[in-house]
Amino acid sequence: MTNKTQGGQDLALADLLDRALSTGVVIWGEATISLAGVDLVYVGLKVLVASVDSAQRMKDASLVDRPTDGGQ
Amino acid sequence: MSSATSIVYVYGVLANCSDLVLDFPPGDLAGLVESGPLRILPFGDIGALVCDFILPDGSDLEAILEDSLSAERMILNHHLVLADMVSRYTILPLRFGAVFAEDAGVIAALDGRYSALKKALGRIDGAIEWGVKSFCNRKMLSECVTETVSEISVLESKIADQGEGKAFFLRRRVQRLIIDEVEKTIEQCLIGAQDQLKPCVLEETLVKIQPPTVHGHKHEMVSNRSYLIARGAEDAFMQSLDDLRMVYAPFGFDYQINGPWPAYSFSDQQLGGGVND
Repeated sequence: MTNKTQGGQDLALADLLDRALSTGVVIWGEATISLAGVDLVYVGLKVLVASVDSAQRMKDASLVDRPTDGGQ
Repeated sequence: MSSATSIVYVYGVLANCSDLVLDFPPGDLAGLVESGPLRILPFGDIGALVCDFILPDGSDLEAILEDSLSAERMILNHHLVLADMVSRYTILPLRFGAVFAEDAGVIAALDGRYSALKKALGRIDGAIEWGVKSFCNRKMLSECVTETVSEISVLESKIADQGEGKAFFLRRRVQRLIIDEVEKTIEQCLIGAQDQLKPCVLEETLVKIQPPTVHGHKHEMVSNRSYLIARGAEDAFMQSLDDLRMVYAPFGFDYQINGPWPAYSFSDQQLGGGVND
């Protein structure tokens, strides 16, 4: 993990999720299942949030509150 | 009779990748999905970094992602592969979850969006993303403005000479003034910090403010930003952050840096114009 947080913290899962799941290029195409995949990933994340060790910390995370990006 | 399904997972897009050496494993997905080696699917002078995932019989990626730990491992895998690549190459990160049925779909996507991908790669070429979270100790800042804003100190000095009723309203007024001054000072400090970092950054963007349960800092997060930094400017950027700490610590400010990241926040776009749109 390429974490260099100066406070010596581990890479925060929330920081990663905020980036890897809500930013980055999206390529749509007939051959992809990304359109469905992204929606399902967001649904899956709610499950993730409920069970990872940091569940309580993540409960209020932006990712949980973020509505499913139907158009993204 | 069911059979395993092979899908092509795409991590990102690279430029000038003809002589690129993929000498690292795709990440530990053992027991989750069987994966092949990382490989490049070239199209002209760009290429997609992909990996074949062999999904278990009767399964699909969505089903795997419904399990939280599996989803977390998949997301970490996505990031770790990109993070490894970004330490050596300019790679345009795709949002997590880009899966194609076969190589031809990836090539078609590169073909249909070639110009947009080249432009997006040019934007982040030779640069890397760093995040900076700003925190403010409001109590400390309140004490600071109480001491330094003359209107507040004048009003406070008058309170002792007033009757109980007028003193009550004066105290309320002082409280409101302090709140206003704190907000104003936070805004000024954030603008000052942006101005100080600006010479070292190519671009900057806002990241969503996190609640205390997520950021874990004892003080309030007042800003969360990502910066696109040219590789040669990273030391200067770090030095500017150290300078910021010196300047704004007396106002109750603290800064946390996170990264380096693949340029996720500066690749945030949906590329249209493809043959499949």
